[in-house]
Amino acid sequence: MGLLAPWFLAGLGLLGLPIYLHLLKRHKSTPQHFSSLMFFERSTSSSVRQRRLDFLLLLAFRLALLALIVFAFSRPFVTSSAAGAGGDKLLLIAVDHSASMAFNGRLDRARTGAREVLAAAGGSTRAQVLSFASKVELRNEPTNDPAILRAAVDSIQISGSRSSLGDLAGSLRGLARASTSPVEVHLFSDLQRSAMPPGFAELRLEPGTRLVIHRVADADEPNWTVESVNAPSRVVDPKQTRVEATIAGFGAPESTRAVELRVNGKPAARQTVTVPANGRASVEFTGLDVPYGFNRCEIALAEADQLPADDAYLFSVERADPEKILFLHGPRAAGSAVFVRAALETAAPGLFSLDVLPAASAASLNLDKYAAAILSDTGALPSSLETNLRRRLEQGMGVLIAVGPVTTAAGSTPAAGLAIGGSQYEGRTGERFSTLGEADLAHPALARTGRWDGVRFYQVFEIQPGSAAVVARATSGVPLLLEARAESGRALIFASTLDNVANDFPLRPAFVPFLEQSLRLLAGLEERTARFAVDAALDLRTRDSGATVEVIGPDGQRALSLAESARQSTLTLDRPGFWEVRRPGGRRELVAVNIDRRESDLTLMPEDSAELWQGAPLDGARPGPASAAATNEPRRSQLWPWILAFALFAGLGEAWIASHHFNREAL
Amino acid sequence: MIQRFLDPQILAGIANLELTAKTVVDGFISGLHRSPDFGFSQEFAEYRPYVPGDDLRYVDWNVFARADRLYLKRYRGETNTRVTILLDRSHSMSFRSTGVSKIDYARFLAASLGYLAHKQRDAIGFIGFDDEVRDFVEPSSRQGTWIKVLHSIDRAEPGHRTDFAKPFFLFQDLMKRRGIVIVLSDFFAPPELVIQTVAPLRYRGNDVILFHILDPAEIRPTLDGPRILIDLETAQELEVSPDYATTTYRERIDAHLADLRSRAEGAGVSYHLLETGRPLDSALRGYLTVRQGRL
Repeated sequence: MGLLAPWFLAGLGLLGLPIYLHLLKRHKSTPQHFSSLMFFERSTSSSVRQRRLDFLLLLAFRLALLALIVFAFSRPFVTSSAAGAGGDKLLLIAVDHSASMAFNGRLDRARTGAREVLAAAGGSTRAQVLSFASKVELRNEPTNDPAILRAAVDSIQISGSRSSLGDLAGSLRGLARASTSPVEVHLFSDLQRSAMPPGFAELRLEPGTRLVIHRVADADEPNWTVESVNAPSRVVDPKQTRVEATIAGFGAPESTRAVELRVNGKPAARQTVTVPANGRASVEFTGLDVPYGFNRCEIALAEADQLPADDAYLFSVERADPEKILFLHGPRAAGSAVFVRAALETAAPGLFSLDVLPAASAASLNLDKYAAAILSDTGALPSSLETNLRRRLEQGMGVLIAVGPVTTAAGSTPAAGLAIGGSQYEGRTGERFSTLGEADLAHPALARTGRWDGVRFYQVFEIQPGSAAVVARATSGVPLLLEARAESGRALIFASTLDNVANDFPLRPAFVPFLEQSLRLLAGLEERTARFAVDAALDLRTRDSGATVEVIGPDGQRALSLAESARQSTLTLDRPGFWEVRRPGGRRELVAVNIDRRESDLTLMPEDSAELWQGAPLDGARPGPASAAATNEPRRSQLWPWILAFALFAGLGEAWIASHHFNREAL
Repeated sequence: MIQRFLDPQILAGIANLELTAKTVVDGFISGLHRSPDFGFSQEFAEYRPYVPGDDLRYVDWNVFARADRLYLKRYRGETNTRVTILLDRSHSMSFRSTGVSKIDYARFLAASLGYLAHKQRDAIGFIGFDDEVRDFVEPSSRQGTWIKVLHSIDRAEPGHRTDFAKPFFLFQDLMKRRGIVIVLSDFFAPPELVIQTVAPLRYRGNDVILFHILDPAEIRPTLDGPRILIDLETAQELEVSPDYATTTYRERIDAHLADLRSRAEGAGVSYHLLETGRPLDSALRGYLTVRQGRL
């Protein structure tokens, strides 16, 4: 037993205080002489003796309370030797089942070793089997039933996750703290260098934990992998599509590797690349002839090596026609189409197809084929067009409305129906222009535009927001960009023109991303990540919260139950493969999940690091007596929680006795 | 004014015991008490029928001659008598709640009674006792004896515990002649034992007067809280609650006093309860009233 903070024992001097107070306050019961006691009986109430007893008990409780608190502050502990515990220990079998364990039968060797350790421990030792990769899974409750333990070992299969020794050490610390007996850990792993945490201290174990490392990899092994792929997720023109891939060789000599582009499981192209020793090489495929819809593509090494899981890199591509955008302009805004078209072709070539028409001649236009519409200072629309536009807006079509003098003269915006009060004309001379003031830069339309540096607004039209949300204001305080919702659709109202008359926005770089992002938002083409590593979380509820999201796993089964489909906000992609996501509104996504490429680097943890962690040389077997002494550090058990619990009881006892005592005094 | 000088508190301030007795008696008494003995040359008292065994010398033959019946002629004598004062000097007599202690009160009373007897030229004797006979002065009417008695009373200090049986057994040997026996004690003993011990004196022709001296706090004790009481004689400790002292104790001591009074009257013994807070004259008046009634 020892004390971590023995200087707190000086506080025991406080014990003199209650003793001093009790001596001062002691009830002096002076005996009184009486001539004869023949008429008294001993059976009378013994309140004086009771009070004296209360008094002593009260003093004892107070002294105990103070002493216990002081003792707790000195942080006492008891030490117990892990070795001294003998057979009363918990045997933890930790088996690495990360993706790299598939290399050359490493997992089989780990399972065999685990069975041997369990057999050697015999049936008298409690054991628990756990598997780990990026997270730790307990395979069974602590037991000494050989059948259960053997079944737990046999159930361990390769996962696509990466190995994390830091997370394993954290879990082992928790298990050791929860265990009442010493813990002996047998670790079966290939001990990749990439699995080590940034700081070696994260690998520390609880005192008294004995670690025995069984390394199932003998040396650094060469491995080639398709490390990354750069390909568009949406293809409009297949002939101009390029796919780039990086082939990496970890610990490998220079080698020539054949690389295939496969579309929906069929080879589409093949190239040969020379990968330098322990280096990387790029390969590029021009043209991606894929059918319309979502396509399951992969770049794979033609000749698989001993770790096939990282020989292919999956990615999904959607083949689609350009989205049709209707551009209606007013009599004084025909020039704005030039700026809009140029911006869209720059930002997303081929993604949008722009149909430019004067608003006055579009009265009988069929709007069903358009994903979005741009109204550039159209003024009041023909009534039939206005009606159709509102109907399409409610059905989900997006509309970007640019307000100019013609629309202002009409008194309200078309489609959205927001009132326009007038305009603020600043003039082009002097420094009287407005710029972007308060803005919600997290809004999708502004997310990539920055602060619209250098953009000057000479004329901003005063739109009454009504129920619309103000996304941005000019420095003059007038709403500059508003968003109005109409059932499924939405409208963005820009309080200036899209040409360079009322502002110089079309001449500035921010105009291009603003227009592209706005149209993506309005046309429902928001960019989503279509490639993830295993164990990444897929966001299911970015918007349209409350609607059902269906996820089909790589095995073709639903990954979510009905209840989870309605409530779960994220999904862990725990397996490599293609995951199909069906979002509300009929939108589909095909997400490709690949194993973490850090698993491809089979470089082992330095032997000195492993020995330092184990506290003994690595010989593939149990550590020797010297190492046992090193790992069997005395186990310290803190006593202060127990002492504080006793102090609590002493406090309660003191309160009860004091109440009892002073009630008697009051009588 | 006289009453004031009979107050025990004031008497306690008088150092000389004889002066104290004189103050009490001279301030209170005038008159004689009569001898309880009957005999010749004395004032006629009564006739009584002759019963076999009576002394034939006292037969009134003149009456016999006239009535042919035997009558004895009895006279009330005015002779001096023997007064023996028995003072309990046990340790319990030292108790005092306020004013004077029981032993002081008893000494004042003994001295006053002795002075009263001495003034009538009665033989006065003294016995001090606790569990033994500690002091003894043979009754005598001489001046020197009275001085001895005064000194003995003055020296009477509380000693050990009371044991009535043993000293009273000796009294019967010491008091060979009849007279008045005055017992001053707190009588913390069972009433039957007290009367059983005293009664033989009465049977031998003595007039026995019991002065039961108690402190007011012994009759009506009041405690301001639970107290540990220590017996003055046995040193026994006992914890007592106020409730008990004001209820059960009073009932028991009242029963004790009533029992003692009843048994004393039954045995022909005069009994007087004196509280140390009461003036001495009241005690003397009560005593003389009773004596006068008996003569």
